[in-house]
Amino acid sequence: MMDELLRAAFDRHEEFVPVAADLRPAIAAGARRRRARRRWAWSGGALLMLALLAVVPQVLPLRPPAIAQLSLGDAPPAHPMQFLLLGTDRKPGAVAEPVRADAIVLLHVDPATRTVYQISIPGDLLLDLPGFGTQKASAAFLFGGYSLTAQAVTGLTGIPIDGGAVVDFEGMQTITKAAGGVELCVDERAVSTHVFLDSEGRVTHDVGAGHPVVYEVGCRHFAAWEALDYLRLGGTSEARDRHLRQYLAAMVRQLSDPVQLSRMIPVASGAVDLHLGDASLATLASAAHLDPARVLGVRLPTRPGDGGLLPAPGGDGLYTALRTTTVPAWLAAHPEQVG
Amino acid sequence: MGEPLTFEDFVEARLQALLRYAVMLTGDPHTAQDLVQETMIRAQLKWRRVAAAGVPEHYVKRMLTNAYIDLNRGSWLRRVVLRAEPVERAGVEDHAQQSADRDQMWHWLGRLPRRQRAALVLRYYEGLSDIEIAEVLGCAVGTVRSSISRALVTLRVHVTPAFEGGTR
Repeated sequence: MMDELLRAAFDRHEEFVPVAADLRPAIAAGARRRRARRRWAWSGGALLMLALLAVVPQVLPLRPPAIAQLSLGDAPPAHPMQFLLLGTDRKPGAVAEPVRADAIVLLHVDPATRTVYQISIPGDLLLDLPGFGTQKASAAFLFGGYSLTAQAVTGLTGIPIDGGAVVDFEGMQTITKAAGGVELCVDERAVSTHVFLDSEGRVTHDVGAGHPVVYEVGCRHFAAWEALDYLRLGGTSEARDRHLRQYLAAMVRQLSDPVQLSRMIPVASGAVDLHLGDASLATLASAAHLDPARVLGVRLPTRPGDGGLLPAPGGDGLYTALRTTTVPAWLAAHPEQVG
Repeated sequence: MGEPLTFEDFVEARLQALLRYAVMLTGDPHTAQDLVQETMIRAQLKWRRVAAAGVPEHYVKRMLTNAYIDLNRGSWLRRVVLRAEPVERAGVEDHAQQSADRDQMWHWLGRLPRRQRAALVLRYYEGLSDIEIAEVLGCAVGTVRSSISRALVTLRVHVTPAFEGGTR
């Protein structure tokens, strides 16, 4: 009799069993990550830079093109990769202040079409944080740093993340400075709230010391301080995310120049906190053959919700497209999400 | 000998069953998922050894069961499971609390020593023979039988059949 009760109790709880398919990506990613950890050998700044942008196009510029690659046998896998780039609001010198990730960019790298898609995850998007309930995406960093943020993003999209990098305001300025500034196109006139020009035309952070710096519409060269200031402006977080995508695309174009890249490598290691995860040298190298002109921005479909943004139903189509490498088709059907 | 079983085939065929087994063991879907995930990652990394075992599924089940039994001891799962609350409390108690009235059996299963619960699940849910259970638990057949009879005694004392029967 007791055995019947036991069997009945087990049967009643079968409805709580999770679906196996949901677990498979995590298992595959976990195994890859641990394999990579075993064979991982740190090789310095070059890789830092690779993972930061995941897209540096011509690290090996003199290498013969793709056909020679294919014959190598151990050519890197052609499957798409995901990298997570987090920009935090950590300020220089502020030790005890809570740090959030106010910029979260998922980079989807498709070696087959040599394209990079930048998908901004709005900081206000409400996500399920394992162990912390529903929270804004930007708070994931506060609770659990890079790894919890990566977990939450994977929870949203269902796609494992291969590696990533965390950069704060200062680190970004260092990198931009080392790149000698950046070419940016202003799409909306912006007036600085942080940087001012005094009567002699000198730059100051002193509010009221003179006229605020104004960024007029058009394309031009930005010094590092201008670029960083511009990235912090923008009336909405959506505008800021868009500007960041434009900045990243511009940086990728610049770093496709090996001279530029070599100038960058020595400073990058100090400026970026790298989370390589399971990204091995081979997979990173496969990202190195991308077309600098093919760095596309994608807006995540969202809708307003209670206390933050919610994923819009249309997002599922995007996640499926990411998993199946059919992003171009999805974007063709949803042109409003490009940009 | 035919083709050796690949990890992918094994996942395809057995992952769902392992998840079911883990839920019955832990009483909690989240802990079960973590347990299965970690076990499968480990199994994949040493797949050649797993595939060479007589019954790969028993080998994996043994890994999973050991991990479950070791949950108490600050084992590897403790380190990998990123959870705000301790694993011990994660589901067994909470879940039992919610449905204590409805499901005394589940509640008391959660209070059994883990090895005893594993033996019960293997016999009454997985339908294994005592010899197979001994293989999975890595102990003697006699130990399996005494674990099960001790567990049944505990349950008999605490679970009121009338209550249990009239709940659904």
